[in-house]
Amino acid sequence: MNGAGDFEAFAASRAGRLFQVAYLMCGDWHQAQDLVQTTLAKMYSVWGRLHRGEDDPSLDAYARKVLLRCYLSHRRLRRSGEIAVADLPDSPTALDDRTGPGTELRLTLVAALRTLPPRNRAVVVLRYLEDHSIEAVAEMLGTSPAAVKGLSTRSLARLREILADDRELLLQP
Amino acid sequence: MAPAPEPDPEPDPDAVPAPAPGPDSDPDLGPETARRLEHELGRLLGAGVQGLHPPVAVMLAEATRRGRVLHRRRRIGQAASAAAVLALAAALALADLPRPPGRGHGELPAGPTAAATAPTPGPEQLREQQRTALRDTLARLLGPGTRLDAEPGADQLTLDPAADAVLWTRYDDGRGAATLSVEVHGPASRATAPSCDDRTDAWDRADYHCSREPGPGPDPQIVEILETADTAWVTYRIWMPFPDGTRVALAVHNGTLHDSDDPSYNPRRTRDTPPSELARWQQIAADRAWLLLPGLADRGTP
Repeated sequence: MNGAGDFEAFAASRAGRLFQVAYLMCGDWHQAQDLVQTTLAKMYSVWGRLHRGEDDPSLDAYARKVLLRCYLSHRRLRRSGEIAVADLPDSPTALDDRTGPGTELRLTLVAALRTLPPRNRAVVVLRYLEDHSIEAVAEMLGTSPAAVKGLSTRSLARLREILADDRELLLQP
Repeated sequence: MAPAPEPDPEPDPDAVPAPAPGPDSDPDLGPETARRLEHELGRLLGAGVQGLHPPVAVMLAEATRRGRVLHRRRRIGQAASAAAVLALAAALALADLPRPPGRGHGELPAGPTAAATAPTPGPEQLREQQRTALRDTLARLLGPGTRLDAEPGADQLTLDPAADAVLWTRYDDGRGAATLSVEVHGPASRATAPSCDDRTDAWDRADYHCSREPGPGPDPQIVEILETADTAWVTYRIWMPFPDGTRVALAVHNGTLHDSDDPSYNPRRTRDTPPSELARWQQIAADRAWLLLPGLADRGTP
């Protein structure tokens, strides 16, 4: 298989998962789509170098790293327009409401995640959706494992507090 | 093993110092509770994104397009750096040459070789010739009165003109300008056909259509329609392989790309559907006039 075909196969098999990660981080359908496109475009532009001798786990880790940096730099650019909210909005219907299984759960989670600062959101998604180790997340964020542990602890406590009123979510089988 | 390129480093204004274990931790969160919460959170996050159906095919098409632009820009940057180094080296070499009496600094006699050598088009000249030929061919195939406008950034496409010729242009049939690209890949090109199956497998929604139809040679033409309900962006793409190894790739959108005032490359929708009918674009892509393009190497007689 040639390089272009390799890239297409890689991108086709990973785009969906990258979208899920991006969506939980940013909470916006269109921005998530843009983040994935930017991530894959950056990988495409260096695919020749990337693919020489790189196995799939390395490529996956690289993709997460690019996605994370795109997300954080995008948040930085948009920071002036960001409004921190202390409580869940009364109605999450203003969020991207794609109907289907898990929509209510998704909207609740996205609203809860939105109360966290961007780096905390990233840590939560990478640690608990993607199941990366503290060390791996620290490497992606370019910070220390202790800092990731701190972000993670604070984020969990905050989510626990916010989701306290949605205990049925936690009790679903 | 080649090391993976490092993603662009960025400053980290959010970086937090390593926290002290006490103050930021929830005192109520014992190890067992924390483990349970972590487990539950992982389950919830996983369940929460299960029902998402992103437009994978559209994302792939857009990522590939943006990736090509980035790749070409990187190559241009590398070529510019190399040219600058060569120019500097040449200037230094000239500065060190002994000066013949009566001649100014850096002024060299014109040698017989330079006078006798016939000028051969350089890559940029050849690209320009190909762009002109592609534009003329496209305008003729679209019919009398066709107006094709420049696409911002189109001159940044610097493929090897011996293998690949490309034109990005804007076509307005009176109902809104649309970006249109024509790529002619010679036999020496390493361009590959779209992988219809990969995309169809990855994204089985109704917004992506890909079909293989008879072409002018033994290999089928590939016809794709990419739509996204979220942005109403529509793209027709045709991949037309000819018997001599030449392949024509034609893409037409329902809006414009590469607006010079939008560094994000986000497309701008100008109409509901791309101009003209898909079948008309298939006819245009299948025209043997593309085989007359100058400069592509290793091509048999059409």
